[in-house]
Amino acid sequence: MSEPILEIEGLQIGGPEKESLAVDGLSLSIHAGETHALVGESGCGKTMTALAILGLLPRGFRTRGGSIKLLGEEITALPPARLRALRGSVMSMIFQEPMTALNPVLTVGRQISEVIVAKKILPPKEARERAVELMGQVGLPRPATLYRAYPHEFSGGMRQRVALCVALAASPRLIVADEPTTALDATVQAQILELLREIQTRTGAAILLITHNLLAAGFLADSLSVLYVGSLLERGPAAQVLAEPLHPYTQGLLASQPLLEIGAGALLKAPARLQAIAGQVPRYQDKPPGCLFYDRCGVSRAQCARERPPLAPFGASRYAACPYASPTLWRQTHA
Amino acid sequence: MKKRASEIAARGATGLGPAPFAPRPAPERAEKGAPASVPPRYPLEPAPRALARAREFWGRFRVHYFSLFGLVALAFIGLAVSLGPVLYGIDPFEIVSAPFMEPGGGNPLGTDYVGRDVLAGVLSGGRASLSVGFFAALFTGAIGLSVGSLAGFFGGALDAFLMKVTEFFQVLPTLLFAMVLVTIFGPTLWMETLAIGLASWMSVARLARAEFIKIKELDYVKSAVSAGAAPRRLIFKTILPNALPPILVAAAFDVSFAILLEGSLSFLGLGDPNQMSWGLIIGQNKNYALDAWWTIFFPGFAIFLSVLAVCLVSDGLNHALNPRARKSFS
Repeated sequence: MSEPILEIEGLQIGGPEKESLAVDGLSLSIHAGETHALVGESGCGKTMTALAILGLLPRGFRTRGGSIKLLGEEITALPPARLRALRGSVMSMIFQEPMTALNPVLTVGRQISEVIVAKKILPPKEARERAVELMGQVGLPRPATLYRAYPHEFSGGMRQRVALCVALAASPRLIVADEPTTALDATVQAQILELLREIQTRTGAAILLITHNLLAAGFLADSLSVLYVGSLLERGPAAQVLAEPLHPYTQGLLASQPLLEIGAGALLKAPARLQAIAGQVPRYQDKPPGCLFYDRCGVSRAQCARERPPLAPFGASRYAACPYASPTLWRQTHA
Repeated sequence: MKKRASEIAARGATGLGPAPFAPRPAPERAEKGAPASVPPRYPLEPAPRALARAREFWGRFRVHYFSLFGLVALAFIGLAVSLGPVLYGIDPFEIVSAPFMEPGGGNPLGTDYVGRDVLAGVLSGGRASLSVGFFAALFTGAIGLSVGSLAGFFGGALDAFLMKVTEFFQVLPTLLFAMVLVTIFGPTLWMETLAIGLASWMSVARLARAEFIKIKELDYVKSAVSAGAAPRRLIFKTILPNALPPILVAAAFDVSFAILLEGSLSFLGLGDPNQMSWGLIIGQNKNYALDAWWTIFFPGFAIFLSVLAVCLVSDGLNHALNPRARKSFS
């Protein structure tokens, strides 16, 4: 197997409080042309992970352990200048809110071509042509005209396309997409996801998709990690995880989705009643001593409160951090 | 990627209607049919000329009639003080007739307590007042913007230090501080300008800092960072253009403040004694205000009108510079 574009090993991210970890022991790897989805509720450390990869952790947060390798280069302890050189050209990020992700005083074309010029890929004139070309490729109509437009003249979907162009401008090998479709309406979501996949096919970039939309993950991702309060609860090929979730948390996430239709042939009817997971995600500062999911879990036993189950292999390619992980329960209730 | 095609096909064929994210044939894209190897080329349209942008700006400025009035008044004052002394031809320091001659007659605006022509004084005096006002505001803007943007962008210890310095200047009474500077370093026009600038840059600095702090947290700045932008680019290209409109407006208001301060300094006799100015005329004639109203009314009105005009123009700038007010692209 070739070298992965991104390889994270046992990543730990700590906040201002010394003891508590916002992300604890996250491992994943993404190869060229692959998509890995990071799913979980809000406050589970998904965005923290993304920011750590780009070296953009907010003040007070830093990586306390583990490694992040980008094309084999350890990037957790790189000097700022080197990180800056990697950002944009080797890795780039797409943000959740397209309405604010573009600079309002610059024309959209300028924002795209600027990256190309700043990264010394092309001289200004060619960079403009390349930007127009990119805008055409992401499906913006009349790109040569819209090159001169300002972001406020665009709809949310169009802005997200432009943001994609900015992220793609310097042909990065890794695209970190932080909730790229959450702020968009349903049809536009579908278009953007489709576009992401199209781009991936064309450029062979690796995508780290951060989302709480399991349908989006199922559509785009090859593999999937379920993150809960900073820890991995389940990992495996996306289609398998979504078709037969092992961990009670993943099952709960799926059961709370209004419509499910996952995997080849495996159809799940929309349940008569949506089942929300009771309770709330604990803050990472007050993690329970045992299983993180203990107090919200339907199958937990007394032992779960005492010791935290490690991520254990389950079959050939799947992992789950639960001794009671089993697809049988899910099959009974949802098949 | 290959496995997906079959997956999607299966999903579409499940019979539950269209799958939520199943790919539909996209007609536009299909027509374009851009193969990966030969990317389509689009001709680039010509850049919009600066003229077009200026026209757009003007279009948004002129709908505010008060600002338009301010601009006309400012143009009138500017013309009067730049060309007036030459055309009028009377030396403002020369004694041309008896003291306290009423307006009309030989002297259109009368004469002052030593018999100097008030109109000549008002016309020449405007040069000092307006140029000091303008350059002092420029100076104010330069200091304020540098201090504020550095403090706001880098934060931390630098921010704390620069803000302490700003606060130190801020607690000094503005006029008193300017007076002290002019007294120490000599009453020249340039010293007045520097003194006013040094005494009044703090509000711009605080405004610039607030704007930088606000803007640097916005997504488009983060997005620029994630695209690999260095601090210099972030400050000058990403944040500054967005922070500039309110700062420009504040700086324009500072022109009026500087005109007033210059008037105060001259009124107190701390201005350049060899340079006629509005404040100087008022200051010298203040004891005779009740007997010869015209000696202080006309220079006073000139100050009033220029300050008002500058304020109205900066208000118009505020409206015209707001990028969100830009009209839609067509």
